[in-house]
Amino acid sequence: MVRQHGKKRKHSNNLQLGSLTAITAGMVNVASVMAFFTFSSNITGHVAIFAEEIILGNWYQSILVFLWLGLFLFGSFSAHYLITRLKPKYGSLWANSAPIFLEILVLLIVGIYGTFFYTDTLLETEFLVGLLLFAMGNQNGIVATISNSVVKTTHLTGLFTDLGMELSRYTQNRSDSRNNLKLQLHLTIASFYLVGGLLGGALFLAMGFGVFFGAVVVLTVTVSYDLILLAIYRIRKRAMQTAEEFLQGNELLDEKEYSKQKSNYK
Amino acid sequence: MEGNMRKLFYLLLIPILVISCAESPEQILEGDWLTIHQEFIKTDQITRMDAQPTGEGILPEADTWQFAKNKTVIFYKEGKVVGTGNWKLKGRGHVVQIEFPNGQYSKYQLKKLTDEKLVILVDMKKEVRGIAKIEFEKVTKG
Repeated sequence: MVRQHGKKRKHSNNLQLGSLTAITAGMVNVASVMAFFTFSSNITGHVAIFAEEIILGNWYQSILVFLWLGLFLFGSFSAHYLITRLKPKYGSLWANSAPIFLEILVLLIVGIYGTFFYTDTLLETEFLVGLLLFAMGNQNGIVATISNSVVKTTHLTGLFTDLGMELSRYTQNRSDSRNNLKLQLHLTIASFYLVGGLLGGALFLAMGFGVFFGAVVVLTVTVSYDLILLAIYRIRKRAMQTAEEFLQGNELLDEKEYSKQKSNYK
Repeated sequence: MEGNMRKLFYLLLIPILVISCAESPEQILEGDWLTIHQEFIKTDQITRMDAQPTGEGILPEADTWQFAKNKTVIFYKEGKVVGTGNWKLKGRGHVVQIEFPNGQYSKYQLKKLTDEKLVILVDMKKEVRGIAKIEFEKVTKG
């Protein structure tokens, strides 16, 4: 899901990555609105608010919103920077996983601070919203970098625009297989974002800031999927090598029996 | 640090320094605010301001709202205390949430907040359809 990069990715890889990260984005965004009355990934809205605050002469709020925008940008920057810097040395899997670990860390900080230390002051709110914007920028940077900008999951404006065009092609019978795959991907992301939003809202009402631990669980599944597959592959490969060595060392077997047992191990 | 990286670093550092020196909306809000004007806007009916709703969109019958540093708010009418609550600012400092002693809470959007003037909007969701706009001027600093 996160190991394959760019053109090597299959449609199923993008579907898995898109759906899991969309759930996280939905959960975080709705929890952010309910806890702080502010979206954590709506950059278009934040830019509009930034302009409004400048016009109204609210300089404190203007700078704050500018900082939040900067943190989203910095999140995306960090994801791309980490992936491109780590890839030559550690390979795609670890390089692509590194920013996801960073996002997990940030969401854990928000969850732990919110659960045990939050006293509802404005400064804390500003700081925590900043962290969430960083996390969402980071997440969007991760999925966009490793999928060559095919998948983006933290905001739906662009996605709904694409979806509209794809649906238009679909209804006019001008839809080729590529359009159908994009349509499927975008519908999946939108649906899972909604599921994440509903889940995030329900979890926030039930357990407050514990909702961010839920998002951490989803991200852990995302990042561990390929790691578990890799571990299984390595264990299997090692077992096959051991079996081969054992069979080669067994002089009692004739050539035919050796081939038969070798194919059984495979 | 690479040259381009340094530019990006300053781009974030400068606003952090500016905002840390600026007066926060919490500090501006602290103090006594006297009601100078109130009206219903965006309403489909003419409604008197003394039609007091309950639940969300609570409008205390008060002429002065006192926001204290310890996050309590006291409502006065003609010098007498008519209600109390606890306040907190949410979002980017654009919403003040007041929790009343009976457990009810109400959200007020801060349309304008300066050292001298405060304008709040209250979404009257239930009994009265529309938005109440209340203008205050500061009489005592917190």
